[in-house]
Amino acid sequence: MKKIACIVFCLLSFWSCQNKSTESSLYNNKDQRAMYYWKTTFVLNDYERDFLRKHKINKLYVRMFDVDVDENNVPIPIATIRFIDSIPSGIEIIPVVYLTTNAVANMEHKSLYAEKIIDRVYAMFSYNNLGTIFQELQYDCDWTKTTQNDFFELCKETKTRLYKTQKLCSTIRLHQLSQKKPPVDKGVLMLYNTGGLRNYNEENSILKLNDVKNYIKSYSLPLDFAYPTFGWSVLFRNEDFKGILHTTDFDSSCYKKIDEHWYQVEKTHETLEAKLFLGDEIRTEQPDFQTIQKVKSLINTTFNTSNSTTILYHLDSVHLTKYSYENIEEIF
Amino acid sequence: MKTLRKFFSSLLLIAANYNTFACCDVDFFYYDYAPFYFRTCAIKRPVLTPIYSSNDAINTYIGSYTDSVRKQKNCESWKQQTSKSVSLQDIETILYKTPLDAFLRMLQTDNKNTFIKFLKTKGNQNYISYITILKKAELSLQLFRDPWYYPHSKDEILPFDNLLTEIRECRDAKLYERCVLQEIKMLFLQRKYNACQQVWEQEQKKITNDFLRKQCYGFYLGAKFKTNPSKEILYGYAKIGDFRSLLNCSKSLIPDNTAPFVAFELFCKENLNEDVTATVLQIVAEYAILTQTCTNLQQIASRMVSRNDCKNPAMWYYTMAMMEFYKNLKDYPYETFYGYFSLPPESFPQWKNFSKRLNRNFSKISNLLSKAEQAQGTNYIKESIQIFRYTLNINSSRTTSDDYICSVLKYFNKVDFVTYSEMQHLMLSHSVNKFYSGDTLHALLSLNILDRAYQIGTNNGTKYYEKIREDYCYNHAYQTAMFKSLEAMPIQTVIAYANSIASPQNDTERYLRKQCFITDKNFFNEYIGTRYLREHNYKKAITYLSKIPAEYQQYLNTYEYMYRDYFSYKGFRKLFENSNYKLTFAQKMYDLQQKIKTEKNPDKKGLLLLKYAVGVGNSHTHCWALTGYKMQGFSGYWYDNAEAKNILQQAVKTFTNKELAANHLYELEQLNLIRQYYNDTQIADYMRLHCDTRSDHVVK
Repeated sequence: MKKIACIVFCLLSFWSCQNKSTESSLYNNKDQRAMYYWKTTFVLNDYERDFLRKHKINKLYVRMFDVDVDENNVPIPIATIRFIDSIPSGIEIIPVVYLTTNAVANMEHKSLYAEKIIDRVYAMFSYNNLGTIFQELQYDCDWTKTTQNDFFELCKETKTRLYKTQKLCSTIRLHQLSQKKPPVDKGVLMLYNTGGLRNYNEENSILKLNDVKNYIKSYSLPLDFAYPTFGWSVLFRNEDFKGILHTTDFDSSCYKKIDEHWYQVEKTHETLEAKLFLGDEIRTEQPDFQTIQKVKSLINTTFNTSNSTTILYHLDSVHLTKYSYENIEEIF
Repeated sequence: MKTLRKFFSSLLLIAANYNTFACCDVDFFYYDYAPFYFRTCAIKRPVLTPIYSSNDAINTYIGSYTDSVRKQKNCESWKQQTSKSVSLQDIETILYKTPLDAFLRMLQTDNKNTFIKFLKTKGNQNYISYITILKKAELSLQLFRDPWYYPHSKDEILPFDNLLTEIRECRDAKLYERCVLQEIKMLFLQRKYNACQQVWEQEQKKITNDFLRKQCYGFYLGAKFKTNPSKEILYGYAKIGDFRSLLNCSKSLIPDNTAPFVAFELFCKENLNEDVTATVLQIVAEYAILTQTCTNLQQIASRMVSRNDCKNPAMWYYTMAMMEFYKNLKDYPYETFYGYFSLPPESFPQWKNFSKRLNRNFSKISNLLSKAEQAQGTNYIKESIQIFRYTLNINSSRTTSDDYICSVLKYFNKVDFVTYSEMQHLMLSHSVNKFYSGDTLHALLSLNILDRAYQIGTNNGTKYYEKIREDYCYNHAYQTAMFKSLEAMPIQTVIAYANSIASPQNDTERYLRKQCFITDKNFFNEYIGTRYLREHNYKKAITYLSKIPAEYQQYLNTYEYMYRDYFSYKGFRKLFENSNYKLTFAQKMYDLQQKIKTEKNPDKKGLLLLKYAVGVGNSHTHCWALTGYKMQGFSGYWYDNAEAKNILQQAVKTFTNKELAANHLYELEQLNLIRQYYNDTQIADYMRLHCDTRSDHVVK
């Protein structure tokens, strides 16, 4: 099976090289527009399809599955995406695998797991007709000093198992900028989740210019940049973090606005996501366009972004409608 | 009974590795009316996503039991079919714990396993072939069951074709029925549903073994459901006692949250007096509680109890009473009643409200419970009813006496086991009752008993009256409900409580004291001393802290932080000697207080005040282990503390030698004070030369 895949790949690589000159003249990285797709089912509504078309998005970073540990601490894939809709034409899928640090630390033989991950991504590409081959694989992992070596080893093992033309990429969180760079071809700097989500006194945990400023420094790995265009609500009970809400209808009479970004529950009731109790407080978070722009300017002055891709997190009409067409174009 | 439970537990491990596809498996099982999911407790669920209340969770939970029971029955069936000299354990080892290669090796080398011995006997070759085929099938299945497996295409099916031929060839008189079952199973797993149905229709008359027949029929029903789903199939599953398949199929036909109830009622109709019904009932009851659909289950229970052939009416009345009780929990945050760490004192008002509500609805629940008490039932259900009666009386504040609580605890000592949730409902309610009647000391005593139940509950099922090691108590004392409440009480109440624990006044108090988690006088003296340190009352702190042995501090959860120098101007300077950390600090601070009072020289007094301010500030910041038991809430610089700030101001006003004061303030990084009070000193000049921003030069 692997041999056939190898032959097919060689043929495809040859074909792609033939076409590369034309392609690269059309798209260098700078002209690449990309988005993340981070749900467990791949279904696009009309707005989202139209969004991709209008903004000339040509790459989708799709979370394929997460790797976590089972009850015996054995790393297993979970939350695998189900493809209900087809991929719009002209869009390249970049598979993303989210790895929990616990899973990475528990991978006894990294080479084995690198192989398992790659095989599974191949199978998912084949089963769901996502294309014959992927050009890039992205790992998303919140590694820290204690899990750095494990993650880096997994990256090395993965690199050796990918074809030479395939790139391995890793997300880079802001705090990771001060650490050693992972052994990958490229990084995507995540410019979101910069604050303390669980902190009651936080004003916006998704994006704050000052939070970003504290971390930004030059980095020796080529970087793409991911900006947030999503939002959520954060539920607190007695100032204790309770969870994230995605579908709260603040227009209903159950809530009272108590501050610019704060609501209070006025009536105990149940939503699809949670049971909310009288007195619960909800902080709404969605980065505004101006903040994103300021962060982008900061990035442009700190890094050489001439060959970098801008990626938006993530493709979801509920939040994208909060930004105008011009806003999105400017971010790109 | 214990052996049977042990056997089930070991089978559960196997089930984890050998689980078959969920839908259309044939399941029936026996399990005692275990209290874990019922009585007055509900399992802990995640705060926001009640996954345990989903159909899937019922499926998973019941699946693990059904798999284990099926395996046990299978072993028994093999024993019957083979020889009396073959042990059940050996059959289980070969069938469920031995992979193909090991099995083949054992056939060559093993002479101890009685099942292997039987297989090697002349004339039993066909058994070996049969087991080998199944082991090969398991190998193929393993690949597909690997969580990493993902099919490359939509046509990928299990590679069973060769094995199907082999299993057909294997049919002989002894193994005929088993081979038919395996053929049906393989066809089903290959998604060849029509062929699967055909085999059953052709062979059903020849399958007489009830255990195998039910399994074949289950796969047949499953195949039928896949090709033409109908309610008829549900009846079929109810008849063979397969609740899991019944539930799975109901979910497709009844797409709302009543599916478990529809399935359960169908199931009960066919299996009313079977032991299995009690187990299924627990799971459905849990679902009803967590999804607040208690009325649905009550209605079913009422219909079951009115049936003439109902042999265990006590269980159904108990269910009705329990559902009525749980209706009263509606509208309360889950963690109020089940989250240990968000217990008192914050949750007391909600417990009080709950108690009031329960009191209003008392007669309805009590009447149902009375019916349960009078009705026929097993010993176990009678025990559950008794515990529920106690809970109801205390929860609804009908009974608030300590003697009553004593009798409850004595009863608990007699029963098989009591869950933490049961204890929680009782002791916390009792504590709330006591608290609101003004008896704070007994309220705290109840919490102390509750803490013991919790700590034991988290310690591998030790019986709640067993003794806990003292060092364990010290380490965990600061996470308890009692400790949380003590922190909210004035220090005089804490002292009174410590005294009441030390000298119980009567037999009831003596008995209750024995049930407590923390009774050690060292704990209380240390805690009271610490509270006085927090209030800067060093004299009183010394009184209490000097009562405890020096080595006691090593047991404290904060011991690892007791090395920081409390008089350090900046940073975590380490103390060379930290024995009796808190007492030494108290003594030094008290000594400073006395010297400050008597010192006549203003500059010497100023310096003493500075040192005292640093001690006060540090004890609330980086030396937080002097005044608290957890780091949270202690941050910032020593001079951020209001009391330290006041003393600092006093010191500044006391000094007459400006240069001396400025030099010391510079060491203490009090640059603003230097600019404010000593702007004409040499150190102020030095600062002006070395400051980076203009604002640093400006006197404010």
